[in-house]
Amino acid sequence: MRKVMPVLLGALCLLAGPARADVVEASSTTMLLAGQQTRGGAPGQTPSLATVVPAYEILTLSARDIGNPVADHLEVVLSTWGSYDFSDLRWDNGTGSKLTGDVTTGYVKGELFKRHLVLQVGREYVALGSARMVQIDGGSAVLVLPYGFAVSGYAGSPVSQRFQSRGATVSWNPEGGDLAYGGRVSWTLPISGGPGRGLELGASTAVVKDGKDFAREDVGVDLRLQPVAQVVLTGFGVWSLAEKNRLAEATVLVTWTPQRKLHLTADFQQVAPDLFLPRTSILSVFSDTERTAIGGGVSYDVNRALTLVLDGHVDLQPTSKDLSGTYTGYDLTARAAWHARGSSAGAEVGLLDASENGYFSARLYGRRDFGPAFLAADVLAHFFRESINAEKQAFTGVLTGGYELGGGWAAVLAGRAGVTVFMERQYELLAKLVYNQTYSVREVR
Amino acid sequence: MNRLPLLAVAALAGCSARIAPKAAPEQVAHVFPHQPHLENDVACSNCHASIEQATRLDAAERHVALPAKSDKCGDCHETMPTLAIPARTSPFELSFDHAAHLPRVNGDCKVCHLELPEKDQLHTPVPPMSVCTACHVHQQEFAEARCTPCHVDLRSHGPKPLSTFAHREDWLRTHGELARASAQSCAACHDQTYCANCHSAATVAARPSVRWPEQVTADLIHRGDYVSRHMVDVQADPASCRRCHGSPFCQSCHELQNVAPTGSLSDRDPHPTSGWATPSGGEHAAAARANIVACAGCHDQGAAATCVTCHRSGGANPHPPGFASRHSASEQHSKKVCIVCHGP
Repeated sequence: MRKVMPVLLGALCLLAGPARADVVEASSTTMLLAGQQTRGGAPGQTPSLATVVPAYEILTLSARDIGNPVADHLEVVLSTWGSYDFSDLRWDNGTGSKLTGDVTTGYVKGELFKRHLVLQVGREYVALGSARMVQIDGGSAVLVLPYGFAVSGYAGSPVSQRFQSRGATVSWNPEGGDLAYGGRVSWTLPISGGPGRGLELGASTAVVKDGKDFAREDVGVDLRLQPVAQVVLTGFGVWSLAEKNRLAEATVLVTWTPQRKLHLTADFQQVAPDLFLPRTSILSVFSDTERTAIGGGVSYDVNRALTLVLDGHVDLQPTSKDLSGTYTGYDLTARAAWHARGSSAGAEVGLLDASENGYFSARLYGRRDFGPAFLAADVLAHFFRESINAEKQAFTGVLTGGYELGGGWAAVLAGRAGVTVFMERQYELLAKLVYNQTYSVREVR
Repeated sequence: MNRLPLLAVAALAGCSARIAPKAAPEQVAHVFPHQPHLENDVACSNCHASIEQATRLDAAERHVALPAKSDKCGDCHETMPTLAIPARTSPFELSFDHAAHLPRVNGDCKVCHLELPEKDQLHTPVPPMSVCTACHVHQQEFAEARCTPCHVDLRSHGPKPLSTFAHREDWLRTHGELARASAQSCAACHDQTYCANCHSAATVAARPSVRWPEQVTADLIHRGDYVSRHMVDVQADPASCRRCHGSPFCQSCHELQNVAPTGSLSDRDPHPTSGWATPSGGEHAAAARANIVACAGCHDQGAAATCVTCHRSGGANPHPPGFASRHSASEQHSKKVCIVCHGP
């Protein structure tokens, strides 16, 4: 981090002088929340309540198509925020201080050699291959080679909250290490007949090290096949080298859009949750169970306004009752969504059945625009199969109103009330002032 | 390090100081009835002659010059209507060379312009991408996510994604599968701040459903009172939680709620009061095998973990069957995690 950030800063300062960005997007959100959170408590006693009133300033800047003598396309992105807790510390403050903040993303990205080389430096995500969306302070590169080949690589330090230590036990980062690196090679075979048709094969590796020990040491393969425009098949598998090639994750997903209104999916997933723990965790030596989910979904546009969605899976999971048993659970979601000019509404029900508990959920929502103003409502209910904290139901409702002030400014006021398994009555208020604006320099091509 | 955001903003201010906000495109009605002229085989070049030399799309140039009545309109028009051609108010979203393309379609504009604007119409129909791909086989560019230079700025203009990346109702579940192979394609329209809104559990200011309560139609994760149901979700799909959240994230809240093990007997105990951990094992063994991720929410403190107390070498063997075959004996005394119980 200490090495990467000066590079990022230097690049930003250099760009501020001679560079000219075609498009600059600026977003500012000033937000004040007020609510109560439970604290502490012992069996049979009522937990105490903490009043939390955090104020946030969230700033996002994106400058792209920056004129420069080197890269075909140069982009700078920064998203950062600061907050102050006016009352008690909120639980996800992440530090012991009332004043805190973080950098969510911050990177410089350049495309060179007619966009055959993409370089990115800063606080970024790596999504390709088996990287598992690792967030790093570091750099990445994608090199597009002839004959459909491409090579990508990344290296950096996994990000932790508020710049606290990386691999230590205080880090919120799931990686559990202080150095991450990896890469992917791929080959694409385009098929004529329309954009997207073709085959793509990839092989990747992802490594996370905590000192000298491997927190993660994975290899993966991925596949995308689109034989015809309407059908896409994706497959992915990742194995842990640290565990003698145990399969950590495998997915197969097929989507089929036989007609514009109808979309079908079928998917299979197998995961070993223990392999999502760092190999440096003491808990990584206790379990090697697997979970399998198989199912699919369908969505149908009844007309231009109404869409119906059904999605379900059978989940095979180990039971917590004995060491060798399997529990057959399921998840099911059905939704109706309606959109018309200036109005949206929807209803959603869901069922989740897991070995120790499950729930039925229902949700109603709607939004109506009144010129520059809008009103939105969202009601969510959960009915649990087994009691949680001696309660079996939770209800939450959110009412939101907003007004477009003009010039990219908008004001939003929201109130949330709930009866939950941990709070007999819960109220929260949110007020925010938002500024979103896009600035353009060159509009003529 | 804490000065980084301020310095970065100051640096970017150098870019923004010379520019002005982009005006929202005005909805200006079209003034010319194209359809009757097409039906009467009036050549497009009668009015749009200069387009044949246009090598780029230029918002400042309309390429319209109405001919004199006696020239080409007199066969139908006794009196020439007065037309004021409105200026274009928005930039083009594509780069295109009409001069190069018109000869290839023998000057027939209708090959690409399948629909033309009519009088009083606000919307300007543009040729669909399918007319481009009818001649240009863009599979390689598509695979390599090289949308430019044809598309000027996908992030600003946001065209409807094509079939592979069409954001259908199951997008929340399926987008990850596509991103593993095609993250560069995602980047054509989205910068990583967009991804971070959901994926940056460690560094984001607040989860998306808190930040955007007005977005009731969006598939925002952890909507509503997620605290009430998170323990059910972690039973159903523990790996999903671990993609974004590390153990200390869970522990930081569990400690505040007295759920985490701090060694005090007055702590709120999430486990059954009897039979959970017994000298012969008890219920915790099967529970840990079934969902070790749930255990990690409170017990992932390395050598200080409560598990070590009983399972230290010489105590009950905690490893699953087959564990020894996957690890060499030398690891016992070389890997830090093994040394915790087996010693150096």
